[in-house]
Amino acid sequence: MGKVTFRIWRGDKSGGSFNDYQAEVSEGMVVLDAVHQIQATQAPDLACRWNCKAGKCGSCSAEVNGKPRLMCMTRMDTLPHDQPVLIQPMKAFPIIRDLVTDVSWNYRVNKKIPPFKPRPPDAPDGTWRMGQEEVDRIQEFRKCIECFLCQNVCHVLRDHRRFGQTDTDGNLTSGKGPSEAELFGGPRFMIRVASLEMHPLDTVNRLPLLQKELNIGLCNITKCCTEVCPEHIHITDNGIIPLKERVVDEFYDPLMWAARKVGEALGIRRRKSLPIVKP
Amino acid sequence: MSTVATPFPQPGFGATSRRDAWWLEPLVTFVVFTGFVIYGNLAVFWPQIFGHPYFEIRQNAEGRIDWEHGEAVAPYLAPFYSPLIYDAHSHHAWVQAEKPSWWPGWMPFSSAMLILIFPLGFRFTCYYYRKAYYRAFWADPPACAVGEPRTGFRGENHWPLLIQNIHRYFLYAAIVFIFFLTWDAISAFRWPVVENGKRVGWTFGVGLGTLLLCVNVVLISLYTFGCHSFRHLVGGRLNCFSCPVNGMYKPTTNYKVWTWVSRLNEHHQLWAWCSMLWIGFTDFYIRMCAMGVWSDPHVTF
Repeated sequence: MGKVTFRIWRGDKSGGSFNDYQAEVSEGMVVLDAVHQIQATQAPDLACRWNCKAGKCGSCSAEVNGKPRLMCMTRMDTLPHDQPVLIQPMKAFPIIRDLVTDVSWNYRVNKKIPPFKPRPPDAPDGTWRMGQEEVDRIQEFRKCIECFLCQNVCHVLRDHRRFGQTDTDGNLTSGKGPSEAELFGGPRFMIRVASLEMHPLDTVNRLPLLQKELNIGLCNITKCCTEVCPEHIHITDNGIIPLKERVVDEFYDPLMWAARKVGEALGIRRRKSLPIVKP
Repeated sequence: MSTVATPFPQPGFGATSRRDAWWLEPLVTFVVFTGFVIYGNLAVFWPQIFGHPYFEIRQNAEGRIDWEHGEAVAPYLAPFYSPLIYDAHSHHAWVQAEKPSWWPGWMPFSSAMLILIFPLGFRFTCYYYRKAYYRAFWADPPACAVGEPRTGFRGENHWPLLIQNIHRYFLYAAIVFIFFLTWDAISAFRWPVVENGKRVGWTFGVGLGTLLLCVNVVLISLYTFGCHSFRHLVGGRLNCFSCPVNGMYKPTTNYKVWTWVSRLNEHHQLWAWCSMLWIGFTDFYIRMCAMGVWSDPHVTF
């Protein structure tokens, strides 16, 4: 396939620029292969996070020709070679160096989500029973490799910077009103909440967390998260929208409110909300 | 190695490193949706613009188009006027009057004004259409990883877009409308027998308009029953699809219905476009026939 020019962003949080490198590209190569070749032959100090080279560790997230991608899953034969291949770090997160960004904010969001808390065991031997249908539905969400490409492309985070604020105890919180102090959990954590919320054995109600702290209402379902997901999770259709509908059930729909009141009068049990886990 | 003075993309409308035609999809959406909205307004104000509403084909005893003194010679009702609540002459009308008595005299009236809020509200609050018009009309964002024109953002967490949570109520209305459209499609096989400008009976018949109305109700149904809210209400709201019945774990009816709706839901965008374009064309076709511009090929038995 010959020599191809790669235009790679080099720099740190204080600034940087795009540098051009030439790499010999052969059949079957992916962008990460070319970056490794450049590291080995021309720029040994080029910072790039990677691990599995198989699209399963979620480490090598970057933007290739402007599109959020895993470098290890972007084949060179899918890119035009007549102009430089542009590689830059994920835009939504703070740059550490070159192609490496600081994604630790995501782990702070994760700490806000109450963990799985199952009902008492179904059987005397301490085990549970659940149908294959329930397993099938939430299995899709378990495919997430936490590459954070969805977080990166989500315009609520990328352009509107809804990263919340940190309180005096160092916890991530959401400020009031439409401002950058508002916290948006982002698609990855909507999917994590969906995997717990739709779990038939789980007993925690995370809808107040979704509505008031992770601000699911900030999502205007433009589906970019679904478009970039390397695991092809239907983030919007199977995760966020069903959660939005559950939030409507809980907080906005008067008929559902009436049905709940009737249910309570008849003694039908509902799941209780647990206190939000402190980081 | 050489250094290139290419700036790292900064925020701003259209700022992106993408090299594909990212602008094409929102542009097409913008043009087609705008065309549909313009046509929808034309349909509503047809009486004021073209003199008469022309929602059905009326001819006089000489076989000429005559809205005021003619009789309906085909069973079609333009779908933008369905259900037809008010009309002084049409056999489709629920109330045989020009307009409601409470309607302000200074305000123009067409029967579509009473009903179009429901299908339009259903589409306006639809999860697919939201994606499409947020991108194409609000540029929020115009496309993935492309800069936006505004820095402020309220999302659907604050007014006015908090109203999007009403979607399921428009769904309920949309399901009722499917019954009306189905009735129109069935009625399109029941042709009036007209002699000397007067209807003397009914007969079975099929015309191009019949086929258009039948396909219309199929496409609208595929779109409506693939709705995300419908998917939630029929089963998505449950955590347990196979709760034990007599100790056996077997899929419930909820699960089966949810599975069917999920299959439709996978192609919700496709059904949204097909049903929108089809109902627009069907309405236009019937109006053109009603105005005598086109003639409807048909057979009666």
